[in-house]
Amino acid sequence: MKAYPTFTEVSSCEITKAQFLEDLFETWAEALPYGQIFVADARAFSRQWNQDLQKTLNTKTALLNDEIRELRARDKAKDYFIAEVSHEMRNLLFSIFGRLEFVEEPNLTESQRKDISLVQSRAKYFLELLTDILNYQKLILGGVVLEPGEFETAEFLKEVCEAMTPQAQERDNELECNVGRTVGVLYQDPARLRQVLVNLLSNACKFTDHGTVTLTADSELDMAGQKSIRFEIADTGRGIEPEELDKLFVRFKKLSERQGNQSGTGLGLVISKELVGLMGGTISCISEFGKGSKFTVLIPARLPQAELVQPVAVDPIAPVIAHQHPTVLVIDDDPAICELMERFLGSKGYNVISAGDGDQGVALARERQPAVITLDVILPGGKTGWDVLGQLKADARTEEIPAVIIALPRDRRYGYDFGANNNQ
Amino acid sequence: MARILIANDDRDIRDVFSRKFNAWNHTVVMASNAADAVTLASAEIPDLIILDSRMNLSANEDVDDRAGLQVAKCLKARAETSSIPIIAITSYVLVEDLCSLMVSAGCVAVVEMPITDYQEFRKIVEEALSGRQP
Repeated sequence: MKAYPTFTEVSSCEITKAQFLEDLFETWAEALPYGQIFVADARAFSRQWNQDLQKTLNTKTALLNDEIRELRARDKAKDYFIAEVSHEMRNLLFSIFGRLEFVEEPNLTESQRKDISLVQSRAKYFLELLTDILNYQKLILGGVVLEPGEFETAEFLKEVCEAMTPQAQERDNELECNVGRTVGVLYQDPARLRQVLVNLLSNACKFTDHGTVTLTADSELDMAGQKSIRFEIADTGRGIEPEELDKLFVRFKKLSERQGNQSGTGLGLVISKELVGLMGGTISCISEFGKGSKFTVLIPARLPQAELVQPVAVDPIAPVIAHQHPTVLVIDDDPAICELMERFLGSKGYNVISAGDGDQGVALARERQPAVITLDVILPGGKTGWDVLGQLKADARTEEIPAVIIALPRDRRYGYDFGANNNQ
Repeated sequence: MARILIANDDRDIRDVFSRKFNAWNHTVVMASNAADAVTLASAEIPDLIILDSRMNLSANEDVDDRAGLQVAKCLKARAETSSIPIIAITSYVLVEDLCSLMVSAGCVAVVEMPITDYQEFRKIVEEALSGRQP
């Protein structure tokens, strides 16, 4: 007598997903002899299944296409709505600002004057908010395309500082601008860079009284000889509390609120971060509460061409092409280790690139095809070095690349399972 | 003292502009849609036009994001109005690159709504009137 597979056996097969079993019950319900699935003709069965699958697939594709059309229409309607609303808001603000202009100063009482000035500052805040929301919306939808051009950095920064001087003086701050001699010419989007620097300078001026705000620019070369510009915006203001530092670049976090600051939308730094990312750079902040803050923007002196085509890609490591020197990819979250590797391997004629976490490492390995990969076991985020190794070995694009695990002794034995080369 | 045509479909905006210009010793004429703007500009030959980019096309037609652009093109194409300087007024609209389109159509400046700095705006107006590029 023929042995039929039991229900449990069938369900352990690879093709038996929940949906499949459901279909099966419907089609072959009568052929189910008490808990067993009766499969009479495997080929006919699979043909039938394929046909059903194709039918389901066609229906679902059609449904999806309908949904996509619907979503596109809704998206367009939303854009239109936002344009309409903001148009109206801007026109209303025009009336408010315009009419405030007509109020004659000499005829006002002290308290009226105060009211007028408050209305003015609230209207300005409203406008700022509106502008930031529109900017942010455009940014997250990927609608911002950089318009790079060549410009003299020193001259550009001088203009930015001149424009910011009145704001610095509002709170009796000195605004200083120091530009290193090697900075030279930039190939970036000047309008976007200005937006970022103005945002940072404006924040610095807002949170500093009778102090100094300094804008410094200097150039530096990375290991591959790629030139980057480091902009530092430092102030002697109130600084940021350590627990608030982490939230700085997070959406809609307004640190200043608690400290009684009424202006600023909380979106400025988020927008700056997105823009700097588009420019292929990074933004960071260090601060000592009560003493001041320093924001650092590091961007490549020349915008990589790839960024123009695909403005969403935010790759902190500028692509380098090295023909003669073999590339080593260092995946390690410890900057000290990365630096050590760079120094050591760099002196041996290797071109070193590094990644701070697993995902970035895997992406870099695929893109850059390094000659060797070194891998730390403990990495930030959800993935360990072993996971990353597994991922590299499972991908045809990276499985051939020799990997060196930098591991603690007790982790060693796993390495060989994943095909890591003799670890050190 | 100059004569300025304000083309804008919002009555309050026209009013604010006209009071401002009066305070700066200019006189104003006003149009509330694109068709009227062209007619008035041709009839009155003002020294300057403050042109809203988005208006009703005519008294019976709907609002159009490119109405101002059409007015500018039309005026620049006619010999009698081609030399009148135009300052375009824009606010957020869905037309891509509206600013550069307005400039290519011959506007001397594009001012974004709302105006918050009237000293700066006055400078732009005076420069446009004096025939210099603001």
